[in-house]
Amino acid sequence: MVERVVVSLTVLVLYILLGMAVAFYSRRYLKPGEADFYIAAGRLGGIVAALTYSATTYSAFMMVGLVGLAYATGVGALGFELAYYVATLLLLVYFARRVWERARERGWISPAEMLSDHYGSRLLGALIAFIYLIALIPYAAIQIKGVGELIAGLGGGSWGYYIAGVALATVLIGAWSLIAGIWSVALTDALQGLFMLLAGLLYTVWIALAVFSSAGFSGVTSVLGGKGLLGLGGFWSFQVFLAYTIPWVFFAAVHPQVVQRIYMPRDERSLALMVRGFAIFGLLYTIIAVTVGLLARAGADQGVLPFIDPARRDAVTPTLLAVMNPLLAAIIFTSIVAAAVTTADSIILSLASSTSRDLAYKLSPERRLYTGYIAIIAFTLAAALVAYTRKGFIVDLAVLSSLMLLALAPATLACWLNVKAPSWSALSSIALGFLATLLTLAYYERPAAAFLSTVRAPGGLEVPVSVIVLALSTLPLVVGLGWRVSGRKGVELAA
Amino acid sequence: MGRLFAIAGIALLASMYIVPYMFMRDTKSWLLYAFWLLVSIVMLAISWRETDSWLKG
Repeated sequence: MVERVVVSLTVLVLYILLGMAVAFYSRRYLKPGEADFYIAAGRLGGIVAALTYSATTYSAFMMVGLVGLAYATGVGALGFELAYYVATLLLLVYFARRVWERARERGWISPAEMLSDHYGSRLLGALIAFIYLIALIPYAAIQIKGVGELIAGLGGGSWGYYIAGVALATVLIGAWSLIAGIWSVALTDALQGLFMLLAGLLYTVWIALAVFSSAGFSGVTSVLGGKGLLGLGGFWSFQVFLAYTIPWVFFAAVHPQVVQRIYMPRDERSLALMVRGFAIFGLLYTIIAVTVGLLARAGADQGVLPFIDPARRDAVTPTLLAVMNPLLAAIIFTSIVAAAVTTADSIILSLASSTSRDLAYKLSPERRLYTGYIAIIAFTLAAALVAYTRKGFIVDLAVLSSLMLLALAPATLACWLNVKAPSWSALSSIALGFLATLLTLAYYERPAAAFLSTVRAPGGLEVPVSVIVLALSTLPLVVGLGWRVSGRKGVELAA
Repeated sequence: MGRLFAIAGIALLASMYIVPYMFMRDTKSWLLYAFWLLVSIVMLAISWRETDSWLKG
C-alpha cells in the first residue's frame, strides 16, 4: 500500500512539474490584451487546437463516470457517449467554419458575445454570462471533486487526503489559467490530452489481458449477454436514453469552453486539423472508457477482478487502480487528474472571459482584464468550495450542467444559421428554458431525478424534461421570427 | 456538399436512436456495440471528407 502511494505521488509530482514548466514556457507566446489572454488572438496551431478541444471536452467523467456507467448499465453507455460524439462532429463540421469566420470578422472573444452581437442585445450577453456561472461552477466543482476522491483513494478514503486533492486541483486550475491565460491552458491541455490517451490505451490493454486470458471472448460475451448488458433492457429505456443524450447532443453549441475554442485556430487548415484531431481522439477515448467498463463487469462477475456494487459505480476505476501494477495505476490515476484539470481550467477561463466581456463591458480594456484575473481566482475558489461539500454523483451532475445550458441551444443554432430573430425573442427563449430547468430542479430532491424525469404527453407518451426545455426555448424564437416576417409583410403592403 | 453532409449526419444520428430500439433491444451479442461503432466510424469518414476543402484554405 505504501509503495502504491509513493509511486502514485511520484508520478503526480512529475506531472505537476512538467505542467508548470509548460505553463511558464507558454508565457513567451502571450501578448498584451484580452484577445490574446482568452482566445490566443486566433493564433493557435491545428494540433494544439485539436488537443485542447479534446482534452477540454473529455473530463474526469470519462475514466470515472463513464467507466462506471458502462459497468453498471452496459452497452447503452456507448450509445449515449457516441450520440454525443456524432452530434458534435455534425455541429463542428457544418458550423465551425462560419462561426470561426464571423468570430474573426466581428471580434468575438467571449462565447456569450457571439449571441449578444448577433441579436444586438447586451442584456442577452449578461443573461447568458449569468447562466454560465450557475451551470458551470458545479461542473468545474465535479472535476475538483474527482481529483479529491482519487487522492482520497490513496489514503483509504480519508477526509484529509480528500482535502489535499481538492487543494491540489484548485491550485493547478488557478495557476494554469492565470500564468498565460489560454496559452498556458491550451499548451498544458495538449500535453495532458496526449497523456490521457496513452493512459487510456494502457488501461484497456491491462483489463483486456486480465479478463480475456481467463474468460476468453466467448466467456465475456456470455457473461455480459446473460446479464442483459449488451442490449437495452433494464436501465436504458428509450426515455432514459433520450434524457441522457439530448443535453449532450447540443454540448458543442452550448458549453462556452468549447464554443470559444472554435474562435482560436489561426487559419482554416488549423480549424480542419482541430476537427479531425477531435474526431480521432473522441472516438478512441470513448471506446476505451466503455470497453474498460464492460470488461471490468465481465471480469468482476467471473471473479477475475473485484466486484463492485453497481450502485457504487463511480468506485469502479478507483477499485481497479488498487489491484493493478502500481506504476500503471499511477499513470492512469494521473491521467484522470489531468482530464479533470484540463476541463476545469478551460471552464474557469471561459467564465472569466464572459464576466469581464459581458458583465463588466463598460470598464476599460485594462480594467476588464484585471476583472478577468479576479474572476479566475473567485470562480476557482467557488468551485473548490462546492467540491469541499463532497456531494453528488459525477455523471448526474455533469449531465445536469448540460441540461441547464440546453436553453441556449435554439438561440445558438439560429445564430449559427444566421437567422436573425428579434432580441426579445432570444431573451425569452433562453430565460424560459432556463427557468423551466430551475423549476424542475427545485421540484426534485436529487439532480438525477430531475434530468431523468418525464412528463406525460397526450397519447400517454413519456417525454423527458430535456425535450420540454428544448421545446419551451424554441417557441419564443419561432414567435419572434413569425412576428418579424409578418411585420415586414405589413411594411411592404403599406409601401 | 454542406447540405448533403448535414442530411447524412442527421440520418446517422437518428439511426443511433431508432435502429437499436427497433431491432437490437434484447441482443445478447456485440451487435449493438458494433452498430454504434460503425455509425461513428462512418460519421468520422464523412467529416474527414467534408473538411478536405478547408485544408486548401
